[in-house]
Amino acid sequence: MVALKLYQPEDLIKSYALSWHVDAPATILALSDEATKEIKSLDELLDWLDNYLLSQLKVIKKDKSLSDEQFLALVKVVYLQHELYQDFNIFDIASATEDKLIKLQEAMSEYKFLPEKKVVMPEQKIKVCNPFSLFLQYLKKGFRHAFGRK
Amino acid sequence: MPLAASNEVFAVPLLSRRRVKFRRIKLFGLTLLTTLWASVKWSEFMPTDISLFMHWFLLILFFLTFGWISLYFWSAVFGFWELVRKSRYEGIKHPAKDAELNAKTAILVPSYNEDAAAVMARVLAMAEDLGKYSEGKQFGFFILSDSTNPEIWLQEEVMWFEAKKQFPQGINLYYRHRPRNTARKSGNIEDFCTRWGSNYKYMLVLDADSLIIGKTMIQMAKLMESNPTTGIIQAPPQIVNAQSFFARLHQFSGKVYGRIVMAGQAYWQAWDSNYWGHNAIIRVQAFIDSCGLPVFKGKAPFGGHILSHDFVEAALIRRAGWLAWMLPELEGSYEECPPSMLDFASRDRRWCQGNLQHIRILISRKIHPVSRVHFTVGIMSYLSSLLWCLLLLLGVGIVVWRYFFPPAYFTQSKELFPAWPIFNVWGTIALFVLSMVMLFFPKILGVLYVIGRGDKQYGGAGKLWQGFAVENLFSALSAPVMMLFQSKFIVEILSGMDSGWQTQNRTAGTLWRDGIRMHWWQTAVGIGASVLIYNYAHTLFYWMLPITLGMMLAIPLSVLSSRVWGKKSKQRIFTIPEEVHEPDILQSSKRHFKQLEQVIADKDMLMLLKDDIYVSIHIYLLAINGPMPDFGSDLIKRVQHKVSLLSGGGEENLSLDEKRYLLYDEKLLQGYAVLCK
Repeated sequence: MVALKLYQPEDLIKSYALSWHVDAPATILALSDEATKEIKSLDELLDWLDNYLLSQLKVIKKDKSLSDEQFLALVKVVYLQHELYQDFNIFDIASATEDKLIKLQEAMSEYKFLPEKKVVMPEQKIKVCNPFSLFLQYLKKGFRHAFGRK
Repeated sequence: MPLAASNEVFAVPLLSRRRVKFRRIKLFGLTLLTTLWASVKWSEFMPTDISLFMHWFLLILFFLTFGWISLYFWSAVFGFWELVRKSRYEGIKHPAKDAELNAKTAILVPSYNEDAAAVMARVLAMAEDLGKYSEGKQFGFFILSDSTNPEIWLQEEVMWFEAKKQFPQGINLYYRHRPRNTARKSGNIEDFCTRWGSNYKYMLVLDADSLIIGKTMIQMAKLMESNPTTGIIQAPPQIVNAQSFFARLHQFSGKVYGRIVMAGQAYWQAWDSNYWGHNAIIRVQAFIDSCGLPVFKGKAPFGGHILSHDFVEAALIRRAGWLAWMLPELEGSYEECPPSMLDFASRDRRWCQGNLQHIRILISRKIHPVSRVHFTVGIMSYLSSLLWCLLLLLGVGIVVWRYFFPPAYFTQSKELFPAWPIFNVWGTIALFVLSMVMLFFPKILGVLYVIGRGDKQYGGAGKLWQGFAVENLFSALSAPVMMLFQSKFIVEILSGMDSGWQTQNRTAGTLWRDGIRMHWWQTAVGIGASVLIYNYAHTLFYWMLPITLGMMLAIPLSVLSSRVWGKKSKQRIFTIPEEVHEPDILQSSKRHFKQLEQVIADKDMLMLLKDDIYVSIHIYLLAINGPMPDFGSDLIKRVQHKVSLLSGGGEENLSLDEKRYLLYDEKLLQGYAVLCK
């Protein structure tokens, strides 16, 4: 039996994109009580997912270049990748037909799964100095430390 | 299970600056006094008929080489004393028993053309171990691939996918492949820091062969939380999984003597410790702010990117005011050892170049004095070989010279008394014996410490002493070989030869053919030196025999020591506790390796690419990796033509560069995957 907590698909897409950037995507997701459902088999899940996603398509489809079929497949992959990594091969559904798979890949590549929070590492300056003067400096410091006033 | 429930942590009084200063004065004072005393004696014992220049030159060489031994000796003595007196390192603030861990830690696994299944098996083992603790969810793994070999690149992705399926819930596993491996490992880490580093408070940097138990990783993160001014905590790695004689010998010496050496270093270094590039936790923001490495002007080996970045990063983070600790008490931190003398030397070649590059940082402004000591120690660990080599050459040279040019007893006419050249043989022998004692004594302390603790998992006191004897015999014979190697490396580096960046061999033994090819010159030097000494400096022949014999036996020593030695028995020599009762994490990593290896066994890149799942994963991951490097239009056309032939059943004749390009061309890949169906 597979017990699942389901999220709103729109959030799911966003969270997927964000999930590469934070450790626990669950923390940024608003868990929808309405969408929580217990599912007992993969087939049951897929049936439910098809119906659920189709009913939501108009809401969540933002990329107009994708067909409904492509988008549905993409969402399913995203969904399953997110929730079912432990139990199912994510590409079981997607690779149902090769044609679909290729289209799916094209669609997937348009998504930036890894948004970056770019920071700059400032380059540190390492300036070589005269070793003799360095030695004298340490000698002076040593003497001051040993015999100087506290 | 929260870690606190299984971990006995308690607070210890923090060290005062005055105490640390006193420790350093004691250690360096004793080192200096011993070295000065021995140098004065050596000056008295030296032959009187050598020139003043030669006298001083020999004296300086002796001072430097003896000083090196002396520092090692006193550091080990203090380390032993500390270990006997205390079980926990003082100075750092230990977290409370019930301390929570809310900070996120990224575990970085840089990989450069490594065995993908082995790397991922270790990662899986560590993740599983972390998954046992509730704090484990604060950790995420990043496989940071710099692999240039396309076959390995694809294998890594396949392994990532397979491992991800088995990963514990709540712990993430990310994979990124860098299109260009600019600045090697330091560039790899920097790339992580600038892209995703800000999401994490700490990063635990590993090597491809590193393993750390979950409990220790959590402990390290908690220690960082308890010590907000700490920038780095280094967990000393212990060698495990050794199979060959050579690696097991190092594993044994690391386990038995290494503890004393580590404790000695921690004793005087305190919060100014070093970073060894892996098995260490680092405060990400401190690292981002203070460890952006410059590119040195000029060409390699001294110019260009910094090779041994770890020492420099430790010095820079220390320069910025953050503390760096090395805590010998952190157990369950493992690494592997090169299986043979040749692989060890190959790694030494890179380290040698990196450490010599530190000369310019050693004399740079605003570097902490203890960081300068770290650089000096690093440089001396290779330079001392050349100095020993020079000392031996000059010693033999003087005797040979005397054979051909006997001393003039009467330099003026009608002189009443002859001018006897004086050479105090017994005094010199006494100094030699003293040097040997100083070299062996820390090892004896290591054995005594293990026996004193009543640890029976080393096979008993008899096996320990046997291991000690064999280890010393092998070390004595192999030391001249390594001395020649390292001296050669220094000469090569000084003459401008770059080492490049080779993948480390972690498993295979040395073939006779390779042994002869790499060691013939050392054998020749050994035979030549023996003949020379026997004929012209006969008095030195037997004294020099341990050195010349080692050189003459270089080939069999190197080849035979790379083999798996002895039956797999719990009572064999060089046994360590981790072999008798293998820790869970080691067992688990071996189990995962067997399982993961099956997935890619006997499958080359093109075979893996026939699997549309792997193609999909690869294309999916391309978006994360960054822009494709420039391949040139000729190569692209060539690949397109060859792939079309391949899809029609032609033979595979793609070069590595062509395969690399293929992995970047999504359409070509998709077409190939479909046509191969």
